[in-house]
Amino acid sequence: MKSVGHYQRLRNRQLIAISLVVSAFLSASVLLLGVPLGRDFKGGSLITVQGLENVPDSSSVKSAVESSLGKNVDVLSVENGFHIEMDNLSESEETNVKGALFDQGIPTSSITIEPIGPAVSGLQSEQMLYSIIAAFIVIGIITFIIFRRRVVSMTILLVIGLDIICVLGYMALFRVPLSLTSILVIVMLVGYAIDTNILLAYRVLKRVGGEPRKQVAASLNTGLMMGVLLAVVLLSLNIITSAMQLNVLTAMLIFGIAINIFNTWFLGAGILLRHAERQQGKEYHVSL
Amino acid sequence: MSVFRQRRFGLLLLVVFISAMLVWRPWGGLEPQARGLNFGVDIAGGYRVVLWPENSVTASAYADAISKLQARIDPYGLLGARFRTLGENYILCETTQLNGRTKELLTKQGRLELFIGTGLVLTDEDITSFGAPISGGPVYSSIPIKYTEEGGQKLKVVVEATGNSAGVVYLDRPSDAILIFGEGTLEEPPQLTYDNSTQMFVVYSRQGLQYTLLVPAIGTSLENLSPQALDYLINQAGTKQRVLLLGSMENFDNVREEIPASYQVENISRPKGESGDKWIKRACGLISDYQENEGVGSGRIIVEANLQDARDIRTILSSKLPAEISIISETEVEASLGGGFVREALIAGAVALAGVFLLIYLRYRRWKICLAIIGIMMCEFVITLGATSALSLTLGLPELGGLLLVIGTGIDHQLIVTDEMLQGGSPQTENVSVGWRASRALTIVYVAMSVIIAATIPIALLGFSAIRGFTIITISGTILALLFTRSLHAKIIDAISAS
Repeated sequence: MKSVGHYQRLRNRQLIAISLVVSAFLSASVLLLGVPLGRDFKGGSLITVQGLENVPDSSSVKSAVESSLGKNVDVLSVENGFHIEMDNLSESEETNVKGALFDQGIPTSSITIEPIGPAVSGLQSEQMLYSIIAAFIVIGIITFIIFRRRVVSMTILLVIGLDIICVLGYMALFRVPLSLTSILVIVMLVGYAIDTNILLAYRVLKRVGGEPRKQVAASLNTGLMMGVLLAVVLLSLNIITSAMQLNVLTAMLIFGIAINIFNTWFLGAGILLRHAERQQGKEYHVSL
Repeated sequence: MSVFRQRRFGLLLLVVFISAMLVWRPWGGLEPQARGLNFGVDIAGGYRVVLWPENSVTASAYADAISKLQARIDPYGLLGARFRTLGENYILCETTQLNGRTKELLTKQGRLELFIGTGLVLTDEDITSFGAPISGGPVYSSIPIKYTEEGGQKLKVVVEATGNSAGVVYLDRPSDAILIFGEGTLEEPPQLTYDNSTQMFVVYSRQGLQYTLLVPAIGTSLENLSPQALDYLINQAGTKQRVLLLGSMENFDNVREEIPASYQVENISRPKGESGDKWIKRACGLISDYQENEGVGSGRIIVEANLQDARDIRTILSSKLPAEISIISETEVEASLGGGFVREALIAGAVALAGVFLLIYLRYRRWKICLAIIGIMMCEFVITLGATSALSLTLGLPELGGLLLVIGTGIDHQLIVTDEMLQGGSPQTENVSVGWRASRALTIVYVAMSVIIAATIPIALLGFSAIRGFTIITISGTILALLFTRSLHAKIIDAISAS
C-alpha cells in the first residue's frame, strides 16, 4: 500500500504528464518507425510442396527455411507435403528457399512458389476503420448520457485512443506486423479499457463522501488486481500454448493491459480528479 | 434464505446445464466430446481449395468473384472460410468443410436461362432479385423472382405470341457440352425418353408437360464408343468443347480412350438414392419446369428441391460469378494453431485457473470468495460455449478472442462487485448498507457491460466478416452474464460477508 500512498501524493499534472510522456514516446515510434503490415494486409508468397514420398518433419523444414531467409514463416502440413507461407520473396530468396528445401531432401520439381493475396482487402480495412470510429462515437454518446459530463466521455475516449496508439507503438518498436490477430487485440483492449475507465469515472464522480483522490486510490487497488488477474490468464496461455498467433495475441494484450492501467490510473485519473476537485471548489464557494 | 435456495441460483444451474448439453450433445453418443462446437481451420484444420476462373477475367471481376464466393460459402463470416488470390489466375479458398454442396457453391456460375418451347426468353440479366425460397413440401420449393421492366415485357410478348407460358428454367446449362450415356441408363427413368432425331432427351413432366432438354446427348455401349457417337463427336468438335459422361469415370474407361482429344472429359456421378430422371435433368442444368398457372405469371420459380437445396440455388443465382470456376486442387491442411492446440489450451486454462484462485485468495484471504469467483467464471465459460453452439458459430482464433474477452471482463466485474461490497469502494463504507453497496457495484458493472455491448455492435455490423464471430460471442456472452450471473455473484458475496 506504500505505492498507493506515493500515488496519492502525486499532483494531477504529474499524473497526466507521466502518462503523456510514455504515450508520446510510443506515438513517436509509430510515426518514425511505422507499423509493419503483415501478410493479412499486404499478401505474401505461398510455397507448395507436394507429392513427396518421404515427408520431412515440419519443424525442421520451418527452421531450415527461416534460417535461409532470416524471417518468420508459417508451415502447414498437407497430404504428402507442406504449405509454407511467408512475406513476398525476391528471386534470390526464392533460390535460397529452394536450396534449403533441397537440403531437407525435397526435390525442386515438387516445389511451386506463387504470390498470395491479402486476406483483408482495402475495402475491408476501410470497413474496419469505420466500425472502430463508430464504436468510439457510441462509447462517447453512452458515457455522456450516463455521466452527463463531456469531460468523462472525452477522457474515456482519450484513454482508449492512447491505449490503441501505444499498442501500435509496441508493434512499431518490436516489429510486430499488423494482422487480423493484432486487430483482434485492439478490439479486445477497447473492451478491457471500458471496464477500468467506467470504474474510475464512477468512483471519482459518483462518489458518496470522501475526497476524490482517496476514492481513486481505493479503486486503484481494484484496477491493479483486474489487470494482474488478466495478465496471469494471458501469461499462462502465452507460456503453455505453442501457437505463434496466440503467443502474439497474448503478448500484445499483456502489454495493452499494462499500458491501459497506466493511461487509466494516471492520465484518466489526473483529468477526472482535476475536474472533480474544481467542481468541489465551486460547490464550496457556493455553500459559503 | 440461503443463496443456494434462491430461484436465481436454480436458474443459473439450469442455464449451465442446457449450455453443457448444447456443447456435449449426448444424444450423438456418450463419449466426452464437444459435438456442439464447430472448430475452424485455425483449431481443427480443414481444406485448401485452388480455384480457377476459366475465362480470363479483369482484376475487378477477379475481386468480384472472391466476394461472391465468400457470400456463397460464408455470407456472415461466421464459418471461418477465407479467400485469397493465388498467383495471377487462381483463388485460394480455406474452408472447414469440403463436401458436394460446398463444391457446387464454389463452382456453379449462376447463369440462368428461361426457355419457352425451344426459344430463350429470359436470362439472369432480366431478373432483378431472387427472394427467400418458400417450402412447398419435402420435394418442391419455390423461389420468388422479380423481372426487370424489359424482362417482364419480353416475357409477356412471347406468351401472347405463342399462347404458351409453359417453359423450363436452367441453371448453368452446359451449352458447350455433349452428354454421353451408357446403355441401360434410360431403362429406369419413366419420365424421360431419348429422341434420336434431335439427339436430345424429352421429358414428360408430372403435369403432363412435354419439353426437350436442350443439351445434346448420345448413347453408347460401355465396351467401346459406338460409331454413331464417334461420328457425332467428330462433327461437333468445332462447336462443343466438353463431354459429360453420365456415371463414374471407371464405367467409361474403354469409351474415354476413343473420345477425340479436342474434348475436355468430365463426369456427372449419380448420388445414392437419386432417381434416373433427376440425374439427367441435373446433368443438363434443369432446375424448374412449370405450367401456365405456376411460375412466370406468379413471379416464382418452382424447383424440384427441398428448402435447403432451394436456398443454395437462390444463393448461387443471387451471387452470379463473372466466369465459370473449376477446382484445380483440393488439399487437406492441419490446424494453423497446431495439432495439440486444444490440449495445450486446456492445460493453460487449468494453470490460469489455479493462478487466479491463488491471487484472489491472497487478496481476500477467504476461500469461499475464491470458489464463488472461480465458480461464476466457469459458469460463464460454459454458458458462452453453449451460446456458440446454439448460434452454430465456428470457433477459430477470433472467436477464442471473444471468449477471452467475456471471461476477462467477467473477472473484472466480479472483482469490482467484491471490492465494493467487502472493502467498500467508498471510504465511508461503514455509513452505508450492504444493499446500497451491492446496488452501486452492480450499477458500475451494468454500465460497463452496456458500453461494451453497444461499442461491439457497430463493429459487428460494419466491421469485416473475419472478426464478426468475435463480436457475436462478445455480445452474446456479455448479455448472458448480465442476465444470469452478475446479480447472483453480488448475492453470494453478500451471503459470504454476512457469514
